[in-house]
Amino acid sequence: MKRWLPIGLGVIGLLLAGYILFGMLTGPKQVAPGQVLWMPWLAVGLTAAAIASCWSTVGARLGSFLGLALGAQSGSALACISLAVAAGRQNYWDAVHFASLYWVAVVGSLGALVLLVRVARGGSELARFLAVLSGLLLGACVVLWAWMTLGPVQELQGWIARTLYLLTHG
Amino acid sequence: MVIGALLIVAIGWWLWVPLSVISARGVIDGLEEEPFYPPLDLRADALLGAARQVLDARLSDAPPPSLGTLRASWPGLADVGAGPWILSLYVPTASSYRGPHVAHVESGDVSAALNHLFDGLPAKARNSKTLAGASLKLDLVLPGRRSLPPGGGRSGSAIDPGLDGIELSDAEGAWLYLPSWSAERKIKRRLIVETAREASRKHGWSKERADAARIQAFRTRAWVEALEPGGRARPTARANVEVPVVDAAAVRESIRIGGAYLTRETSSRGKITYEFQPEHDRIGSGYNMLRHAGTAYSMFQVYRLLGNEADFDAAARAMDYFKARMKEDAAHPGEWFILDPAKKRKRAKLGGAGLGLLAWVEMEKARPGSADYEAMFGLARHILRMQNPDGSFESFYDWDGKERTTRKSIFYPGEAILGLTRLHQLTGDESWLDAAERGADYLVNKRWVALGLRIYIPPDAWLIQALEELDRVRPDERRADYAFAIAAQIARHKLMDPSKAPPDLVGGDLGGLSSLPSAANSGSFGEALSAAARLEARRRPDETRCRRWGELNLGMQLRNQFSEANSWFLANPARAHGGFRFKPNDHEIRNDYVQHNISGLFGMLQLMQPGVPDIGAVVGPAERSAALLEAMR
Repeated sequence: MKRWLPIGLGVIGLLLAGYILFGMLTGPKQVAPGQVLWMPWLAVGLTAAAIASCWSTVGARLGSFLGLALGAQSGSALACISLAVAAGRQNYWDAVHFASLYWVAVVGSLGALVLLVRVARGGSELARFLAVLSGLLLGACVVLWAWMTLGPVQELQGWIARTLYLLTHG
Repeated sequence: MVIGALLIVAIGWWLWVPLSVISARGVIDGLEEEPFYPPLDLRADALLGAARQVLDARLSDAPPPSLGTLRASWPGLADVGAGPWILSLYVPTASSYRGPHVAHVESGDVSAALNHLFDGLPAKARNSKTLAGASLKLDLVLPGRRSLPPGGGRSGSAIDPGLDGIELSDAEGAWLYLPSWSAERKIKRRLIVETAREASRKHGWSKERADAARIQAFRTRAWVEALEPGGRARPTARANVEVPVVDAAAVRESIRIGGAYLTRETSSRGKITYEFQPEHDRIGSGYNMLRHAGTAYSMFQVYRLLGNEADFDAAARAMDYFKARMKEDAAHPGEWFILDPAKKRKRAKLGGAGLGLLAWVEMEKARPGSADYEAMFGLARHILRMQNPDGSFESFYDWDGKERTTRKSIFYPGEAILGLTRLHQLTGDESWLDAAERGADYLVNKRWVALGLRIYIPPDAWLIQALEELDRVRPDERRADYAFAIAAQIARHKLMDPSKAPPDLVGGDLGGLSSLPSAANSGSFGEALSAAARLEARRRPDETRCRRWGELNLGMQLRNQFSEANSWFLANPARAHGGFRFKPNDHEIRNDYVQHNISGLFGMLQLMQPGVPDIGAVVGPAERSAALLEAMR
């Protein structure tokens, strides 16, 4: 029971995150803005509960699975942001929908990183690899935050866009 | 392990796509120092001048001048050498014989080349009426070729539209698809090579031969005839010529011919041509009442600047057309909205009310006592109904109980806020300004702000104008900073460095991989940047950054307005005159492209020339018409 509860919660969290991502991939216009507010948080919350339920006894395999689940939810949230922009959802969503997904990505990647580093200290190679991926996701979140917040980063992005354009139209 | 491999493959693909695009491009060996626009050239003057002399002779049934006579008249012919020179004849018609018709000039014998072109026309076209507006262009094919990947590379990115010609060659010979042809008509970049192959089949190449031919890029120096007899041949690139000077006189003239285009295109019942494709002499079938209102607004601006009665009359007819499509809110008498025709059903858009209000106010400013006050105040009251307690606006009004959309337009609120601000300028009634300020504060402080993040700043060209004019009466640091941030956001995605961008694209925005910059966007961004420049002149008098952006944007605007100088390849240059096109290689003129450009130019002119009417002019109590005062009671 102690083992199956966190696995079950982790699987449900993964399924919820996958459900939203699948919806955004196949029909972004059909995904209600309200869904992206609560479903990713529910997924992260369930996985966090799973981790909390076995934190003191978590082993390499279960820890890697839960870290993977949390990291996948973070990646799913970032992907949903990209898909929403590509599909022009900014005409239907509010700032809170994008911000909510962003913070899910931050919490998911940070939580996964903490868990996976702990598990990796026990010698798990898989956990170490997944920790690197979580770190990359967290790095992507930091870059996104910097782009939203810092003028010089926006200037850099503009410079890259102009340079690439001139390289293909100069 | 598997995940790691997938990650490496994904990163590799992500890097390979742009690298493959960039590596397929390049400069033709020997042409590294070739200028974008060719220099003035006595040989081109001589060849085009002599060709025109022969054409005039053929049209008047006079005996064509001999080569000796031509050489005596045009000494430059002695220096033309082998070239290769290619002479093109453009006939301004939508008929199949429009051309361009091309002939090689062999050994400087321009007479033979012109005769070949003339005799190739159908008999019905060989008359002075049909050929009255015909133009001649000359290409000097430069040495050197650049191999192209199949199809011209990913999305055709190895080819520069309008600059690279396509040479099809095999053991039997070569055929040239001239550079300007891919800009003279709307051709997708990825289809240029295929279009060249198809064109070769009209010149005797079989499909098999065209498909098997070697495909290479080449360049030419090109000139078009002088506009005045005896003038110099004009350098051209990408089917355009450079605007020589961007000064106040040029801007004023641009506004004048832009206004004249709209006046010509306004029917007797007030409908304004929505889309005109001058390369085919064809009009589109759609219509949009928001853009109609915006266009009428710019026509009143033209009248305020130039005082031409025909411009006012046409704009007034356009407002009659607009009023006839307005509807009074059955649930709220005295409130009016505009119904925009759509394929499925008519919708009441906030933007329509905002732009309609702008137009009515501009009409009253242009000629006091002329506006329809029931419509003007009715639209303003409707806008207030669309405002939520937090200052935000609904974008669509559920006038018939069938409106289901949850869409939130980026631009409608800014249009509404600018309309309310302008109504305050006209009436002095603070309640309109209060609503405008609440709306502006929502957009500045709350829209796209949540959970500690500001997601982004949209390039809201209408809001920035409202912020500039609000700042005159209710200055606020946050709103001013936001206006400058919008301008920076716009400029960041434009080609603002003349030392790096192709000269004809300076001031243009970034299109996609397959797209040249949108000249239409330069119109709306011109409105935005000119507003930022006015705000900068008032708030940051020591800075000129926004003004510089506005001036660079001006160049892009003027280069993409049709005039006598750059319309030689159109089917109907006379009708296109004054219109602003969509892109350097997409010549569609839509009424709102003209509106945005005129309004932006009007805003910049105010900074360039003293005495120009203020775009946000305040009407003093003594200047208000009796009719307006009566309506305000």
